[in-house]
Amino acid sequence: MQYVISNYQKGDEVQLAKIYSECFGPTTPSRLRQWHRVTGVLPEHVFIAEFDAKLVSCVEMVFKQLHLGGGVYLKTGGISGVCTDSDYRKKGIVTNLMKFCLNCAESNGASNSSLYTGLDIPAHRIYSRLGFVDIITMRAYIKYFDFPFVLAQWIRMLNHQLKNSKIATRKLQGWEKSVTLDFKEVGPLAFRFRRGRFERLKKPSRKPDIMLSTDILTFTHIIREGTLDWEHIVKTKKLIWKRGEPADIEMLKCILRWTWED
Amino acid sequence: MQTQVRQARKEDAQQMLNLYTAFAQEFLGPASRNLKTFKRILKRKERINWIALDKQGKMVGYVLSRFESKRREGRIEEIVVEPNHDPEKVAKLLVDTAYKALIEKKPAMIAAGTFGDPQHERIFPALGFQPIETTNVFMYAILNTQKFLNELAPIFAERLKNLQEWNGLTQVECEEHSIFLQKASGKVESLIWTNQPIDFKVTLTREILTKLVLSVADSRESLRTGQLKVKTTLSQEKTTQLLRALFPKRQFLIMDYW
Repeated sequence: MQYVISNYQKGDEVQLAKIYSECFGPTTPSRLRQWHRVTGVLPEHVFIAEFDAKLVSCVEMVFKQLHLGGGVYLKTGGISGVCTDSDYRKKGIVTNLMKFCLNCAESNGASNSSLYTGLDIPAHRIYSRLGFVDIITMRAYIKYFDFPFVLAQWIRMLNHQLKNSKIATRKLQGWEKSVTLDFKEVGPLAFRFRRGRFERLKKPSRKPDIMLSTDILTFTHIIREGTLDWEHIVKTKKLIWKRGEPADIEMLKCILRWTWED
Repeated sequence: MQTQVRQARKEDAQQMLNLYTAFAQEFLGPASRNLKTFKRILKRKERINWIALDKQGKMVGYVLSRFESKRREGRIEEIVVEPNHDPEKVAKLLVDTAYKALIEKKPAMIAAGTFGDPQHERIFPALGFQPIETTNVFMYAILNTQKFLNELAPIFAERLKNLQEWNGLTQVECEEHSIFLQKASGKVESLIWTNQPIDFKVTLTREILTKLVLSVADSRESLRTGQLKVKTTLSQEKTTQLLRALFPKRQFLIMDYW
């Protein structure tokens, strides 16, 4: 596959916003322009890959200061906005764009580079191969006051994400199921996927296709990028699978974690 | 009570920046803000930021929080306390105020997150928050080892200078790249190359150098596990002392994201 690597040019944000939306959630071209302005990303530090005149991947570099103690700051090449159209993944495009970006960092006087990512996404392996080392993970603190409302918001967000995710749309095609999540603290809450949309159910169906019993904290770990492993929570009975076919449970796992790549 | 808390105003931007700069000096990690950053933070409508003032009216801390009304979601984002003040007392006061203000808005949830701030661990569980280890990670790579070592040389020189009762030649070698630091009568000089016998030579990989410099690994532990090698005629005690001087344990904290 032959693709062209170049720098970002004014007007690319229209195509780029679509890829951003697929990878990071709903984004508009104006939001993207605003993001570039706020973070100080320069067009010559944005590398894009085009296939058949279609923008398919992007990596950005923004220079930041890293404090190393005693008032000494080091220039670091901060990588951001790493994204690829899902139809063009696993072709080494991002690895090549990253190499361009890291060369750009070096030629601009940075001896080092840094980035934020997720431990459980395919990109993490790419970064590790390029010499990036895990430094620190984020710890979140959460307190719920109205969990049913939070779940309803989460279902709304799923629909927003689905609108932009080609892989999820493909995989969910024809999958029409109802799910009941029985929470120890607030009782059963339910949703279903029908006609290409997630819908919150006011009343759980009598015979849901999938039924899981869990607690709010475990559920939070699953949907909010927690480090708890699915197999571990099933084994320790923090999550009990009461009803549903194994294939449906696998699909639900993808929905909850919103990770669709094989 | 001596410390007072009030909502932050546009004109507080400069003082907040000064406080942020002083606070960031105490930690290692990405920290690169300017006045514009704070002006932008204070301009946003969804933000409710609080500042703590001492009895002279000097700013001694701030907390950044925000509320998204559509999602009924509150966030407490950053707690900064002036290094000379009691961090726990001021931080708790600020978070309590921010928390109460968010509660008044009837949130469905309140969240806080940190890459390394120990204050969070002390404050949030006491308010009934549940901790979650996330998979969000900060990654770091050395691109040019020699340049990186050269940039570290002044930092190492300063650290060796502060080390009492030791003079000699130190070499830090990482994947065939080296820096040489000569300490004599209280002065430390960086040498490009030398054929003098080395008193203390540290050999390490890029990965462990990264982790030691960013203070997320321990030099003694790295020595014990063989990730770091030391060639010296010095005693074990002196070796430990020198390693601690070169790679002191500090708190890595991320203040800025991109």
